Amino acid sequence: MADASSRAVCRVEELPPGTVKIVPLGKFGIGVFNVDGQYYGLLNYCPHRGGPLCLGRVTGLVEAGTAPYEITWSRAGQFVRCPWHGIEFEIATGRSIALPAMAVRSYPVKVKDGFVVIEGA
Amino acid sequence: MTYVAEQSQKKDMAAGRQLEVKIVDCDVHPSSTIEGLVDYVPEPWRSRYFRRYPAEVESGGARIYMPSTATRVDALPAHGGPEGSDPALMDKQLIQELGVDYAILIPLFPRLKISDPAFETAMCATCNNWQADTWLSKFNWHGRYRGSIRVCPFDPEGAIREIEKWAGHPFMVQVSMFPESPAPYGQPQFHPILETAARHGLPIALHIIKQPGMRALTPVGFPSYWIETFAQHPLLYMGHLNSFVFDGAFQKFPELRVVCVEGGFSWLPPFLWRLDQYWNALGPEVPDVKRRPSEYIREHVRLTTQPLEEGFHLKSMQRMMTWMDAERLLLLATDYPHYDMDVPEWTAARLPQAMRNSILRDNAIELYRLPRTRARDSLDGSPLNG
Repeated sequence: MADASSRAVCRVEELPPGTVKIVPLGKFGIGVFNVDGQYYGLLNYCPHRGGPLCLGRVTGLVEAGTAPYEITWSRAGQFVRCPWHGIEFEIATGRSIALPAMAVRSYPVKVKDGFVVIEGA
Repeated sequence: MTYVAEQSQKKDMAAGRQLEVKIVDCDVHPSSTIEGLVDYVPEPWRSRYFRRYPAEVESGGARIYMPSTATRVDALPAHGGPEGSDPALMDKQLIQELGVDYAILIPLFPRLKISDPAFETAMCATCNNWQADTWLSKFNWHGRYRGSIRVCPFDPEGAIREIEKWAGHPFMVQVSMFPESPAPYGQPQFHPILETAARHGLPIALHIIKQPGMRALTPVGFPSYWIETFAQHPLLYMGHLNSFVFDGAFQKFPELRVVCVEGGFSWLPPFLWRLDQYWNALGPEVPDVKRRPSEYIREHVRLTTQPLEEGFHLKSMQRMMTWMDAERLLLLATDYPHYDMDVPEWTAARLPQAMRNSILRDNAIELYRLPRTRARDSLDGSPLNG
C-alpha cells in the first residue's frame, strides 16, 4: 500500500459478492460494494437530500418492455436504492437512473495482497 | 395561577432547565409488531384473526409498490420489527437527528383493510389502547409525544365511544380518520362524530391509508397504481373540504378543526378561488353557508407541508404560500419513518423567512394547545454544550 491516499477496508473474504461495508472515512463514510466480484466505492451521502445512501437496499433494473403494462427486470444486484426516498443509483458508476444529471461521488476500489483497498478517499 | 407558572417557567429557562419549542412535527407514524399488539385487540377478533393469521392481518398490500415497502430502510430496528416500532431508534432519528421538540403521532397500524365497521372500530380501539400504554406513557418518558384517537367514521356509535373514552387523556390531542371514503365527511350522517370531536376541542386529522383499488375512489373511478393514488390525494381532500363547507358542518360546529395530512397544499389557492367565485353566484343553493367558503376553510382547516413538491420552482411555491395564507394554515410534517419523509431543516429552508416560525411551531402549538417551552432532557445533551 504505497499510495498515501489508499486505505485497506478489510480482507477480501470479509466482503463476499452481494455485500457492502461502510467505511468510516470523511464526514459521511464510504460504502464499499462487492458486485459479482467487482469492487466499487460510493460516498454514503445521497445527492438528492443527504440520506445515508449505502445503507439502502441493493436492487436490479426495472425497465419498460415493448408494450404498455410490460416490464422487465435485469442486472440484479447492480443498483443501490437510497433508504430515504428510494432514488436508485448504479453502483458501478454512481449515476442515478431516474435523474441522469444526478450522480453520487464514487471511488476506485482494488484488491491488493488479499485486502480490499479504497483509493483516493 | 398562570402567572405563577409563567414565572417559574422563565426561571427554569434562565437556569437552562426549560427550552423554547422550535419544531413541532405533525405527522409521525409509530408502529408495532403483531405480537406487541395482540393483547390490546378486543375479543372476538383477538382469537378469531390475530392469534390465528397474524401475517394476514398486517399485509398492507400497497406497500409492495412503494420504494423499500414505504419504509426508510435505515429506520428498521436492527433486532427486527417494522419501522417506527423501536422507541430508542425513534428518539435518536426523529428527536435527536431531526431536532423535533414535539411529535404528533398518527399510527396507521393496525391497517384497516376490511370494509367491516365493527372490525375497523375494534382495530381503532386496539390502536388507541396500545398507543396510550406505550407511545404515550412507557415510551414517552420525555413527554414529547402526543397521540391521535383513531376512529372508524362508518361506525358512528363506535367512533363516539372511542372519542369519549380518550378525550380526557392528557396526551391525546386529535381524532384521526382516513379520507378514503365512500361519502364525504361533511354530510349529516357524520355530524355526531364531528360534534363530539368539536365539543372536546379535538381537531380531526385526515391521513391517507388505503391502497389502490378499494375505497381510493376518485371522480373517475378506482386507480390501478400506487403512483396514481399518491398523486391524486388532493382530490380526496377537495371532496371532503367541499362537503365540510357546503353541507354546513363548519357553520354548525364553530369549534370543529380539520387537518389534511400528507395531501400537499399547492392545490389549495386555486381551489379557494373557485369556491368563492361560485358561491357568489350559486350561494342561494346552500343558505346554511353564511360566509365565503374560503373564510370557513381559513378558520377551520390546517394542512401539512409534507410531501413538499420538489420540482416546483421555489419562488412560485412561496408565492402560492402567500396566496393561501400559509403563515396560518400550514403545519410542519416529516412523515417519519416513511420513505418520502421530509427533513425539517430542508423544509424550513424552502419556506419564506417570515413564515418559518409559524409553520415550524406556532400553528401547531395553537392548534394542539402545546406548551411553548419544554423541560430539557437527555436527548438534548448536557446543558453545557446544549
